[in-house]
Amino acid sequence: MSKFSHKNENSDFISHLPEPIMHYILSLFNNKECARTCVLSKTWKNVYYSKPNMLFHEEDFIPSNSFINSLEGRNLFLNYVDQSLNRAIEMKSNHLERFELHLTLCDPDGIPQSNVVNQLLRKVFGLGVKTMSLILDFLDNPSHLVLESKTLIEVHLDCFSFIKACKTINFPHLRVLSLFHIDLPNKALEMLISGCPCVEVLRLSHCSTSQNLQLLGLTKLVEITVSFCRDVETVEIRSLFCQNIYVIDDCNESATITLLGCETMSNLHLNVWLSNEFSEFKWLVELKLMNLVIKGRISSQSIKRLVIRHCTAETEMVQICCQNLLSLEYEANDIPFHFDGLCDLRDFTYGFSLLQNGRYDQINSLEKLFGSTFNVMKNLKMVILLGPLKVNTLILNLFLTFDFYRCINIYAFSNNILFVKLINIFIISGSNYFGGVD
Amino acid sequence: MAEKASESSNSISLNTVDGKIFKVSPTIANQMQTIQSLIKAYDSSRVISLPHVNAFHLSKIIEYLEGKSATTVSAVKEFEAQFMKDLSLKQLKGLLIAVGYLKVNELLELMPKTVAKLIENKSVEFLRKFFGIVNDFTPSEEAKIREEIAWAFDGVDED
Repeated sequence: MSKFSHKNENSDFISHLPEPIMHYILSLFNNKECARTCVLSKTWKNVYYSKPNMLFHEEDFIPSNSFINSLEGRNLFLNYVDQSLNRAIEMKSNHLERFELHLTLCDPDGIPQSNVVNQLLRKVFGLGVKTMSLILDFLDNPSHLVLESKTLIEVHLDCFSFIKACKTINFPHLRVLSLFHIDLPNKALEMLISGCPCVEVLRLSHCSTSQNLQLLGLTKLVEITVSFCRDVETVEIRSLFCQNIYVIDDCNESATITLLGCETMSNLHLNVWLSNEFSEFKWLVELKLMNLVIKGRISSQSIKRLVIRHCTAETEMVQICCQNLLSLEYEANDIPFHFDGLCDLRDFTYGFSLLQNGRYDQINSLEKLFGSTFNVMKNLKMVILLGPLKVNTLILNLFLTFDFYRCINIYAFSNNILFVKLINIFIISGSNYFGGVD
Repeated sequence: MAEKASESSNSISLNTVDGKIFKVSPTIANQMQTIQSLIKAYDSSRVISLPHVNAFHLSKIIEYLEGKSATTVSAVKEFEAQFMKDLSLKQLKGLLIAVGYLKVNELLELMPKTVAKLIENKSVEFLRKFFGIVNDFTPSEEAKIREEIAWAFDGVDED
């Protein structure tokens, strides 16, 4: 039996723990549970209101089956947020690590008034907030919000009219900026960039922007993600540090994107075709192409790692010319590609699913993929990712046809389980094919 | 001096507030961040005194760290559960403070989780009784707070 139930040890142990430990304990609870602890005693109330994380989510506050008029409910909620901030200010706790305000119960009557939000944010900034997440449905007053904070490092915004509702933005130390569902015409974008000059990581998702996304003032930008921003056709970046560029779009096959001034980029992930030549990017090391139609040759001396997942080709056979490739990951049943001069390849991961008739036609495709260069790839480590397997003998047939290279390590996985590990078996006779069965 | 250093080069001596000396291996000592920084700051042959930690708590911490490193990955959960179960409420508090002072990261994660589990889904009355928390609000003060956070009591059965 646990000793926890011994009654004689009931001298209040928990209220006198160091505050950081109390805060950590509270952080393990959901918002409701957490708030209930402040009824326990004055100590607990103080601990609750001095928490470094203040997370206000409307869906916790207003039960979904409530009959409260939603406008009334929202006002009560915003009032509570305000009171909590006042308490934190009274206690002079100026170590607010994280502030979240999520007004997610969308209702046209429940419009958050810009001035209410403005007042709340002023208090939040006064508390020295470091990271902030705001999800608001609508702000009515354009050019109204005054946003100034020297402590903010990370901001997540989700509100269509947010930037238009801003009068001033001044976050001189902001490093991570995520924007969701935001209306970002050029003027708004310029204001945002000049107010956040030190942004290193920028994420734009589902934003409505102009066709030419110009990110000129962000000289410290290291990483940019543009996802599901339908209007974007060109992205222009003038940053000497920009290394990672990720462009994700819904599968609009005709769309292409152009990158301007991204000379220092080393990692590029795309699921929309790029109109630039890959050889323009002298420092490009990793290229990931996912779910897109490949519309031209891929040629680059610098690429070391190439990932192609579920891509198709516009022409019957696409030439891929990356002589210095070390690692290749290919996933799809068809291989409309031909690789030139892959002498240095060390790792090759190949994923495909079993064809309907139970044959692995992919083996022939593999020969097509590499052509004669397979013979010179001495130290290749090959991983085969198979779709769900039903019949074990199928894999035997698969490997029987592998007779075109030697000294290669092969691992075959199905459903993430190591299925067979075959090492140097192709020079041994047939009975030993499964010498390394795991 | 040189002799002494070579003698103790493999173990670090820790002196608790009640005067007991523990010798621990560097791998164990380095898992206590406070001690790690003290080792860096001082000559490692010196006895490090810990004015805020008593022998019982230090022995428990060492027991946990040594026990865990000797346990296989799959059995760690069981080991941790047993370790926590063997502690009384009073011991839990003292140990948590010692762990906080010595900055033993793994225990700093594990122990508050145990405490959180004790609090989770419990009524206010139960928690006051269980932990011996003195309600220092007047009835009207308490009613006011309950009203303020009425949303947090939504769907909760008070006993």
